[in-house]
Amino acid sequence: MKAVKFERLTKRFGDLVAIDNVNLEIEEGEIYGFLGPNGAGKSTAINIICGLLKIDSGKVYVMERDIKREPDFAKMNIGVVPQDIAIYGELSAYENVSFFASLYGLKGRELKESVDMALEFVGLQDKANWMANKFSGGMKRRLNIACAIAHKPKIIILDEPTVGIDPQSRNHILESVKKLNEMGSTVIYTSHYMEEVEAICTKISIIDHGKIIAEGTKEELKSIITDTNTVMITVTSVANIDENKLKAINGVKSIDIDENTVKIVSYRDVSNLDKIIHYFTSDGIAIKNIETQTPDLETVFLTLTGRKLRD
Amino acid sequence: MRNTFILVKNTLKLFFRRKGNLIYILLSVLIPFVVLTMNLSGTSKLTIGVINNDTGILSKDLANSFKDSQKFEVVNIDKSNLDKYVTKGNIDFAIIFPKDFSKNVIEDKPLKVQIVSIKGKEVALAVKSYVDEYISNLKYLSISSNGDSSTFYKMYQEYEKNALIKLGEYTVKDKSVINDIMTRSVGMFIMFLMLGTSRIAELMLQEKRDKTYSRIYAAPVKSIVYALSNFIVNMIVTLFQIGLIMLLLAVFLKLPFDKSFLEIFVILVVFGISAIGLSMLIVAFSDSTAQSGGLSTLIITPSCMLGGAFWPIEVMPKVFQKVSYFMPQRWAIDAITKIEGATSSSDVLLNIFILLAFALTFILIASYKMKMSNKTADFV
Ligand SMILES: Nc1ncnc2c1ncn2[C@@H]1O[C@H](COP(=O)(O)OP(=O)(O)OP(=O)(O)O)[C@@H](O)[C@H]1O
Ligand SMILES: [Mg+2]
Repeated sequence: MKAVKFERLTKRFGDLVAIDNVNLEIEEGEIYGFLGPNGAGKSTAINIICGLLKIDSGKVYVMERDIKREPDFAKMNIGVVPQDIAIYGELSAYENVSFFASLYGLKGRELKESVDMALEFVGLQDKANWMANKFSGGMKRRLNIACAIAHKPKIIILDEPTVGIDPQSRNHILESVKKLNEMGSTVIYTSHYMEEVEAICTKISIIDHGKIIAEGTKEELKSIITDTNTVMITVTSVANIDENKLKAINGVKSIDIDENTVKIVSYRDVSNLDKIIHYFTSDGIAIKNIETQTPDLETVFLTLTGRKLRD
Repeated sequence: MRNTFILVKNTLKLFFRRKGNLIYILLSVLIPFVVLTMNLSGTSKLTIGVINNDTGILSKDLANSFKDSQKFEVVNIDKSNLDKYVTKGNIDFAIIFPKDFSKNVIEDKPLKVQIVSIKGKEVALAVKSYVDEYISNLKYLSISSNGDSSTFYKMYQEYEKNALIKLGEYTVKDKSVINDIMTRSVGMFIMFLMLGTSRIAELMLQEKRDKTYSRIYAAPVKSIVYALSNFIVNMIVTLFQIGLIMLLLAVFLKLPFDKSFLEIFVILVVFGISAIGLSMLIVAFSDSTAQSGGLSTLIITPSCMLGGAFWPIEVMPKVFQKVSYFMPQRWAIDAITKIEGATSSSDVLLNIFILLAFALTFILIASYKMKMSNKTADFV
């Protein structure tokens, strides 16, 4: 089952093309990441899925049903955590969650239990009766999440839920997202923090200027720019190293010796680190340090767009 | 349906939790009521400025008869000072007797007594009918005396002694004062009512600004349901204000629960609906709270002025008087005046009808505009 599907989707704001003829498929059960710089079109894509923005052309399906034909079906199955905190400062945490959950048809005991559960999930159960405007930024972010999950949606969309909060709250949120996914929800997560996306997403698409410029698991994305791994081995002396013996090891592509460091580039699909280390130890060369260099998504982004994710 | 109820409940909660709103709603009822009762208990004497160009004594006697009634203060003023007196508020109205007043009464010739009022039509009318009645009584004397002044005065002295008609007991003037105070208080209440409705309608713009609006639309809620719930909240608050002021009137001023009472209530309610319609219209045409706040003050205060909420329509220039027909306030106040004057209720029915037409027009334009912008615009 496809949780979300775009078919040649385009969205314009005047002359600006915010989503440019995009095709996309998000499988059920995935934690799907939208990674892209400011203004890439992440929030626009999300607001379209939620039925908050009109589509200029193309089609969007939620749980394989056209959202234009059945907007309420899509809305019932989605819980969205908007990028801008959207809660009522004059209501308590409990009242906020309860109000939004009741719009999805929850009532009575079921409502109460769902609200309690949602607040507990984000760790605000102790502060259920606090007015939201008394909350810190991080607590507001967490309440913002609670308001989106109480009605137990099949798809949970989080639009930069960790902006402007302390590392502790951030970790709490990332853990929560993983837990929600384990509990059976498909998660769509946007961010321009590469570490977050790398840490939790099972599939990522890199978005820039309203277009998906690359899509895949993080390994797949990294292999786009390179099919090799680099190991840097620092030794006490390079005098006794036999380059030919190293080159003979399966998978090794090239060797480069520089002062006391040996740089060995291997093909990515071969794991040969143990053999390389074995060579050094068996030839009696003392290893001082081993460093492996794998490209991160930042590098991927830089390579694909020629720009950094964040300035 | 259920979502409408949920939204109404939430909006009411938000409105009354926001600082000052509850106080505002209570004051909007209490201030006009206190102003009303204070003015009534003050039994304020009306001050008449008399400009007497008459050489005879009849005009003096007439003026003095006002004094005798204990309800009026009489001061003699000069015509050249009239404007000054009026603008300073030293006098409530003026009576100008023409040069040959006494002579013309005796000879039964047409009279031109001029009454200048700044307190409104009701007082002027009451005073005028008082003067008319006084003169028409003298008419009998003039007819009987056949225009002969010495016969007239002889009879006049007898007439005075026997006081065939005790002019001081004329009752209309008391009521007219009350009516005038009542009208001004209603005018004030009406303005507060309008400002209150725009506060509630503006909650929609605040929700847009705070993004809770898009969160509501991310749930299965139709935009019409949202607008309807705001209307219902506005209706509840407006009914509360009207109900409270009617209750105060009934309890403290002992206004009887009769047909007039019901009519005043109905007039205020239909006016309230048109005010809500107007506030939704303002919100539909503005896209920020700052803008709608500006529009509200730009529309509500001047239209209250033009509609006669602050002063009688008659004191305004003719052009403005004509414009006032396009203000719902005018029709509400006009109806209240009619009810107090105890005219037949079919007249008020016309006012109710016109106010309903205003309400319908405002609401239709507002919903059309909202529908159009929802069709083309986005919810975030
Ligand atoms: N309502 C709107 N009207 C006009 N332009 C808009 C509107 N919403 C978004 N845009 C523009 O569309 C582009 C995409 O915006 P979007 O908010 O989707 O970016 P984003 O990827 O979410 O960025 P960020 O990381 O800053 O949240 C931007 O250039 C933005 O200025
Ligand atoms: Mg965004």
